[in-house]
Amino acid sequence: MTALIEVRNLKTYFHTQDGIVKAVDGVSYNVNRGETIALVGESGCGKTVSALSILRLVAEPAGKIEAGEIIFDGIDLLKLSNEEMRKMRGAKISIIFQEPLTSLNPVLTIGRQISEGLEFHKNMSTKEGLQEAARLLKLVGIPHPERRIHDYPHQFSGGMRQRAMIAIAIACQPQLIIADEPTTVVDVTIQAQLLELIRNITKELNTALILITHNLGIVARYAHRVFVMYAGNIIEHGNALDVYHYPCHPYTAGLLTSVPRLDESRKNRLIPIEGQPPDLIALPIGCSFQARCAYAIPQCQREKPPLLEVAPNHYAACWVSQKEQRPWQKKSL
Amino acid sequence: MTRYAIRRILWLLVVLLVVSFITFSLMHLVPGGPWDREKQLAPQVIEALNRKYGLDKPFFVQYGNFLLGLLHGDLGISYSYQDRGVTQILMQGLPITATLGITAFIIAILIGISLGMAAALKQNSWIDYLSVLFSTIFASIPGFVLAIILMVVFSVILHWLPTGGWGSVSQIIMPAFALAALPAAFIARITRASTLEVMHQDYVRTARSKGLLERVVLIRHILRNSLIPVVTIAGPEFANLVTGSVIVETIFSIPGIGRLFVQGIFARDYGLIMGSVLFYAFVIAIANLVVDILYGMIDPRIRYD
Repeated sequence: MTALIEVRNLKTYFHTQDGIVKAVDGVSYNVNRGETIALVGESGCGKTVSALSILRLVAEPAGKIEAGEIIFDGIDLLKLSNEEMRKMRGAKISIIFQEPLTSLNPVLTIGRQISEGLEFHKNMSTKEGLQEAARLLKLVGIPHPERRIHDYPHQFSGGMRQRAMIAIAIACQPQLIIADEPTTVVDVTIQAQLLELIRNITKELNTALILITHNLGIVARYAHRVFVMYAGNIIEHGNALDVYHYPCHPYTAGLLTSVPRLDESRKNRLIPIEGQPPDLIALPIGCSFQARCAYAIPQCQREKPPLLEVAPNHYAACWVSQKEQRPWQKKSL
Repeated sequence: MTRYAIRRILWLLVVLLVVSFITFSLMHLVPGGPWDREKQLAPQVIEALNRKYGLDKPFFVQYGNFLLGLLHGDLGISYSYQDRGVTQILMQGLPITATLGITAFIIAILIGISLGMAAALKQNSWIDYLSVLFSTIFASIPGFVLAIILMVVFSVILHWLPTGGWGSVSQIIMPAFALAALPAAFIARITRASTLEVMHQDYVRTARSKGLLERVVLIRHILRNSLIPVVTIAGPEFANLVTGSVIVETIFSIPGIGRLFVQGIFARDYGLIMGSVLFYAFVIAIANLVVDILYGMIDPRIRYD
């Protein structure tokens, strides 16, 4: 089966006054049709930028996609003209942003914001678009949708706004939806509801989903495969449950112990990952995680570890792991 | 919103009352009177004139009489124009001042918004620098200086436009631009700043992620939001423009209310002064009211109650 989208060796850099920030530095991943993958990592690791690069919505002129290929349905998105790319956005690939309040236009009604994409991509009239918007709002679980389409974002609650964002994203039945930390700004109960909603909808429409999150707990539950990012690179990927139960990179293990888990006793305190992510302008030679890694060996300082298969379908960029030693697994289990 | 408008209009009446009282008091406090001439009139003549026009009565009686007249839509008589009442004089000036003011306002808005938008969309390009330069220059030149510069260049040197008067299109151009320059500069600055801010908002990125035409993103998502602060200053700017007309009309000898006002002050023509001050107060108050209502129409988050 060929992948719906294949990102190959993507490099997205930001040109700032202080130097070149290598936000995404040679990242490859793929998503199959109808599959959900997760991009995981802490703030600033490049997960959002790598996803925005797919839509070519990285903030210009500072941000620029320097190299790589993004093959979507057989077409390299990076080679499309602006006009052709615009026709992909919303129609084939859409995105749910993190902050539903600031991501919705305050002066347009919700209905209008859902229908404008439909009018453009599906040649609907405003009236048809609004009818469809009401149907979509109903689908994402908003009561009285015919009335609600005339409301403005400030009249919606946080959870409802994110539902409206989901409605916008699924409006044209895209083949791929990118959900950029869709639940970080809502409380936990709403979080679960929204994730269930996204899962049900993507299943129903057979839409592929890239779920961007820093919460590995969410990943284990909702994603098929997971790609863990650190300092602009993918440092581990594999099936979600494998990565969750047998992390092959100490960073992933650190992420796991820093997130509360319901399946473990509460006696264990959360263990934060010590230190700060490296400066993306001046990355260290060798492994970018070495400074924070409790298991680093001399080789880590000399050479950057490649992403290799360390177990069946389970890849990790870690010298220690590739030597078949995973002391962190014993610790975390 | 209707209730809000009614409440505001009632307030407007209060404002006008206060303005009329202050103006009336100031007029009578200022030394000099309507009968001062280079050659002194005989005291008996002045006394007779005062009696004729009721200026011998106590201050509050005079003010009361003025208000009574106002209730009937009568602003009283002018001492300089014996043949017509103040109301008629102002009515003749009104269309002229209104034409000039509205033309200038439209010019200010068109130039200001397009310049500001262009500057923001092409930030740090020559358009941007030119726009910033333009708005800095025109925000710092007073209207009367600009009026005289325009007159020297386009009338005296180039002979393209007449130096003043009223009646033809060529006579509107210079005064309208002289009036529009300052508000245009301010509107350009505000538009640039707010557009720059709006351009980087998340919802603009959302709009792009829907694959909308860049034109649609610009007009529907950027412009509408970036105009909110512009509308807010449009009221005060309109007031500036109205008060600017006093100077510009005088310089370009335009027979509008602004010039009548200046004439009235020099002649101590109490009726004319009261009439034109109330006119200006009314226009400014209405402009602010219109802006407040418009504001709510562009930004649904504004509520009036």
